[in-house]
Amino acid sequence: MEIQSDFGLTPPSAPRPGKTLCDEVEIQNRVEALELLRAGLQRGTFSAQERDGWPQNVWAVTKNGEALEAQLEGHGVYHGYPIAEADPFREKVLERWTAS
Amino acid sequence: MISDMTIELEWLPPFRGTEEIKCTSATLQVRFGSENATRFEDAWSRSVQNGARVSAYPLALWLASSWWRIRWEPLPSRIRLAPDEIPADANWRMSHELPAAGYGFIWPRLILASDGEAIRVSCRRSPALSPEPVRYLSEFDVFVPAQEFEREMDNFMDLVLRRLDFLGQTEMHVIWREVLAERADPDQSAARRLEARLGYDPDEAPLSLLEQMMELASEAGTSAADEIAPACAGSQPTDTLNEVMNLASQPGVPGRINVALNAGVDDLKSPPWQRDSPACACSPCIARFGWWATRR
Repeated sequence: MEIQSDFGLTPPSAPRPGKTLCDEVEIQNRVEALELLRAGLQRGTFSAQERDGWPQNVWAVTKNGEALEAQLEGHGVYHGYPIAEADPFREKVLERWTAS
Repeated sequence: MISDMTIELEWLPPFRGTEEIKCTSATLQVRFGSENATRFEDAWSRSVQNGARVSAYPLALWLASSWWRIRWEPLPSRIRLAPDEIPADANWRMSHELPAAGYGFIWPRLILASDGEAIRVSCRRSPALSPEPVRYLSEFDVFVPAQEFEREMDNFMDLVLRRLDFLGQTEMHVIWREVLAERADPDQSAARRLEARLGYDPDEAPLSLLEQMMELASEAGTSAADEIAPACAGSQPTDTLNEVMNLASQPGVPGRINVALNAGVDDLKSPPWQRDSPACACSPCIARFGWWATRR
């Protein structure tokens, strides 16, 4: 299993070197991102839809309360990002994370 | 204000992501008359841009999945009747607020709700102190005639699907083909419309409730059923509908309404919800959790 978070991702606005969406939620490295992915799988916060046995989405919440979503890109490879503030699904992830 | 609607895409080199995301990477502009919903301040380039850099695929997928509810479901009545900005619950917002398109993109906060004749479009600017690198700047409310909305949606979907064609049959192809087939079939269309007005995603409404509503529509007419369905939306739709049916069977109370006979006749150019007041205010908020398992 591998996580490819927004390190190096071209975001929905012009990127500035050294600044990524993951900086906004204070995820500093891939190890932290992978831990969050595992936590999401362990807590059961993943989608019913799957591909080759891997859930299409996994959700997690950082220690600072930021909701994250990981999208399956390949066999066990996920692309993770913070859920935007205006996305109503963020509220659902936070609720479910607290209850899990 | 009644407005036209324009969605423009300029294709870009692929962002990273799935093949569908890559091949529909674009600069997106969504405009309503002179208003631009996608005008934003880019914190990273420290500039104001008129078009959002996103992938059109998640937007198209969300619009296709939410098509029936956007086209036919009104604002929940507790919000419709309150002048201040009471937020809708997350379940309603998932099908009516564009940021639910998700996929890691920051979308403008466009809220789409219908009264059947027009789609009310509310655009809200991003919070000034938002830590996100994209802050949308526009704030406006307009009404798009339903036919114009359908036409622009169809054009947008065609554009995205043509772009996706070389990938074969994507999820988007399948969902949109279903929506078009349902729209073309009068019976399916009527059922989907009522289902949406009850606050349900496709195939989520209890069959018995839908049958009851269809029966009501055949007895009392489509317009009456259209008015009653949103009033029943909520956690106990069947109970609420039974209550409505019970009230309808009562003899009623004699009274006189002191309204001029020509009231509203000269006001046909105004948005429908400015012409008269909503008929019913008894709908509690929608409380369902269907999205959890189907979020993509």
